[in-house]
Amino acid sequence: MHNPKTSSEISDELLNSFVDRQLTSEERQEILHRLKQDRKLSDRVCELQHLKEMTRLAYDDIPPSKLPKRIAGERDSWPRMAAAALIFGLGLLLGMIGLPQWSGGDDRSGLAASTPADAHTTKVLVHLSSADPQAALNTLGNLEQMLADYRKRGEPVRVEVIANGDGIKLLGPGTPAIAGRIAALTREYDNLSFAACRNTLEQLQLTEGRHIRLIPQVRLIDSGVVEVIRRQKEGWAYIRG
Amino acid sequence: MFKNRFRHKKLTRELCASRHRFYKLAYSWTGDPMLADDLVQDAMQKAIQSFDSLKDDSKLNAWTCRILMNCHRDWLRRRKDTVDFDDYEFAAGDDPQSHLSAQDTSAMVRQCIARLSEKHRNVITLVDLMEFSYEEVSQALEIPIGTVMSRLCRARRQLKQLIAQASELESAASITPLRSVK
Repeated sequence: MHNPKTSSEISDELLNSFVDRQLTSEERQEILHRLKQDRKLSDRVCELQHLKEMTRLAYDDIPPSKLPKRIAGERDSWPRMAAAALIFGLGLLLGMIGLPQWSGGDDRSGLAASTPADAHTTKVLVHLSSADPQAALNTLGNLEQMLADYRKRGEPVRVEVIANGDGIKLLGPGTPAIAGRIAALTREYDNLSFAACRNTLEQLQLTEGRHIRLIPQVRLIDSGVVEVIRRQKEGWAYIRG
Repeated sequence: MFKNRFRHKKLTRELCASRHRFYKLAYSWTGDPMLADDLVQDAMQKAIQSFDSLKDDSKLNAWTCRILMNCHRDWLRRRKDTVDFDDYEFAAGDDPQSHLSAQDTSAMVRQCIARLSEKHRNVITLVDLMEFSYEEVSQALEIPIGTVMSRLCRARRQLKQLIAQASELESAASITPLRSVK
């Protein structure tokens, strides 16, 4: 790889190779070094990564294949048949001996994906991507109103605010009005939570040399965009803050 | 004889392990779950029957992709003889207005991928869905790695434009599923 000088001299082909992890370790280091110094270059890489991630995620919720697990024509092997017979025999034996009743018992695993209560809960995702403090305060005001309304009516609701892009700048101590409002709201409502995108934080540090210390009410997630898409797929209502 | 039988079993197991990825790939080309299933089934059966012609077992996935691609092309030819498959853009809801009814971002992205030319769609899906290296894509499509890189670059550029257009359409029509609170 030739040594790149400026953002415009680094070709899109090379950046695609970087995003697809097709470069040698040395080439990768070279690009990473350039990313620290060049905001435009870093934006181009972010765009490509975002596009790649969107493509990957777009096929996560397609209708499942109806094909049987095994390919037609593939024959049973003796070990598999023997194992099946063994499992069947064991099942029969356990059935005869009798086992503790499973149905109706407590599910203490905590793994139940969706409980009846969960199905009745309204789930709202608020996406904070702008650094406008007034807009954010308005959004928090609307949220408070909504949470109070649901509480009054006795209806379950869960709200998660996800910040990425410029929106993340509002979740640090640099905007005390917002930080105070978030602290008060999370004290009052345990069904409200805040999350920030780790990718954006790292990006800000690389491109602007800014380290944003998040307020304690905010947890970190790997990627804000991925989380937003995931929640939408799970049926969460989406509100742009 | 036993060595050959053992090899066949090993390759079949490897194919089965990748089947969901092949299904996703076929779905991204066709937009139809039943057709995707048929193509994958057909390709895998052909692959199993032709294991003897696979010279390098490490290239199993790229080789099977080539078979899957041929199955898809055969289907396109049967479906409509007059369509040049290199320029073929399948019509799974590719009217711009249909973006407005997309239920979520994923559906919109899928529609945009469906609007890419076959060459562009193939390279982008092999890299992003099959997670192939450029070398594997080059083997599957039988094109030089340089061509893989330039084609992928153009494909992503086009996809980015299509997504931007679809998003603008949704915003302009204000019938997006996303609500706005300011």
